[in-house]
Amino acid sequence: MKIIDVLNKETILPDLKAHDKKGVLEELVTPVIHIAGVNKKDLVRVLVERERLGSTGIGGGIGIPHGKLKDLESLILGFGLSREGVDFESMDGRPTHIFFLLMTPENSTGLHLKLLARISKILKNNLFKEKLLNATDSDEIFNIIKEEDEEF
Amino acid sequence: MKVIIVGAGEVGFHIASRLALEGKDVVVIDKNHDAIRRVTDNIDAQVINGSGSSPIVLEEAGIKNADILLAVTNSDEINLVACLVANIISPSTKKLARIRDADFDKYHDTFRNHAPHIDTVINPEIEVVKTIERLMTMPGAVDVGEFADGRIKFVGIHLDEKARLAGARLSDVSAMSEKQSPLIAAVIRDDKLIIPRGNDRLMAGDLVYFVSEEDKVLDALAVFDKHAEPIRRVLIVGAGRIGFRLASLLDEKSIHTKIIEKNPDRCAQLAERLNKVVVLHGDGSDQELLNEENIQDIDVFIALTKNEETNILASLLARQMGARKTITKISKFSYFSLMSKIGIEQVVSPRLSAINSILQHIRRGKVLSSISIKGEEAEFMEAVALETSDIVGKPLKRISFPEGSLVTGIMRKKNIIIPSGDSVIEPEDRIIIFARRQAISKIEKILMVKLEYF
Repeated sequence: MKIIDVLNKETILPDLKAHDKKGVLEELVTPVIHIAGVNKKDLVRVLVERERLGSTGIGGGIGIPHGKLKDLESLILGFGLSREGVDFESMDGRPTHIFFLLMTPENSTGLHLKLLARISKILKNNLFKEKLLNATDSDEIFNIIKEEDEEF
Repeated sequence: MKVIIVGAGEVGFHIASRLALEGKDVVVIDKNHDAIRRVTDNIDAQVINGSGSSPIVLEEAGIKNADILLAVTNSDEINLVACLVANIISPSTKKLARIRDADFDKYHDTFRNHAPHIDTVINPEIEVVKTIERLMTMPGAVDVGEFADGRIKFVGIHLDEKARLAGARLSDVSAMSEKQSPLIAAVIRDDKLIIPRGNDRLMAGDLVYFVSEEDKVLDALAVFDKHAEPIRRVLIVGAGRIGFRLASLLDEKSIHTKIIEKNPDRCAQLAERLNKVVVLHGDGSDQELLNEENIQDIDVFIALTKNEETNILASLLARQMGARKTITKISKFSYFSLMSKIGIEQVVSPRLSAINSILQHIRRGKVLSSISIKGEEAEFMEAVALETSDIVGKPLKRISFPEGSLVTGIMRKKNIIIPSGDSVIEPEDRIIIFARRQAISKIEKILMVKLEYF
């Protein structure tokens, strides 16, 4: 599965304002709730609960907050960039800049795991990360991801 | 993790200092200057002098970024309003509130499901009554806690000089027990916590903590030469909220109960609301009154007045006059270590209960409950072992547990397993871990899930 198939331009946030974990989660879900038609509070709660079980800040400046939600119709992907970086309680203790938000319906099968694997795989490419960090708007970010996504 | 604490009383102060030590981001709000000063003098936490129910103060404290709001002032009303305001400004912040008035008992679920959406209502008084009930039924127990809906208990007892196990090596305990040998998790000797190994000896005077299944607790206690004696007569001093709750419970169980209270109006109130309980108007530390009420025949004497010095002295007096067992309510933590030295063994504290019910919500990983043992040097944690975490799928001996920690029980569906080095924990098992305070953050790490966990 391609990332680009599920990524919507509207859910790309090129300049996150929040400085802390909870703030970033709230910001990331804001464009998503319109598309998914779900309650913001429920969404944030699911993500916060998931973070409590172990941070999704995997180090190297990357965070992939994710979770399952009952009323969701299909898988949803969001993206955010933080220029200053956020303390996301990541494994290497360094600030997190690049965020992929992944929400899946409760009964979803293995698809979301494949997508998660794919996201973590393309983020291993440092040149790609570099390009993302320097992008200025959502169109540019979309194209950078598209380009990298097609490589595979 | 950011936690805002409203109310810097004994509970707020204690939680704040623990969380600050664990490196969490703590903000404490209180109206009282002295309480705030005590926090700034002792704890690495941000403080705000103001009312925790004010939206402006809460915003200033950063409620929008807070993971948890703890409302633990001594007023139910302020705690409720603080949660209500927080619910409006920052709905996704988890809210915990202490609400003590029994009139609210039936509404705890309503508070959770409707505004102010309080995730957990803490009523330490209900917990304390439960603890007293457990202490009463377990001979010789000075500390009792339970897990898995009560199916597993941990018990702390003082080892008597005459006990068979005094001086025995840990490795000999199973040979010396008739039925099942208890799993000994820890020993407190001279105020120091020891996690004993096979070659260590148990000594007379030790406070021994062991874990046991519910139906085998009495067998385990027998190994320590503590034998059950039936409880027929109970005398309670102090008819506050806890006293009344306890008296009603004993009333239902048809145990002969007397309750002594100073305030005549309160006595009249109680006499009306209780069935068979004898309500006496008087002073619980009055020797004459205790004599009149045949203190020497009392099985359990329970001191629950507001004044802890009165409680301590009344318990000592009752003990000296022949009461078989005493239970004393204490609030000041600094008194705890004194108690066993002056001969008061069984102590309960609503504040400690409150702290224990709060801690489990702050622990990371899927921790269901966490209970500090006496002196707070260590904790028992009950947690769900989650898929992808480090604790599942391999034998315990191959998991690198931090020093000073021990898995003391595994529950798989209905079965309880007392683990050995070869035991393997499966996902969704419930586990009970005993850990020194220093080991807790490492234990939390072992319980945490990997990225692939949804």
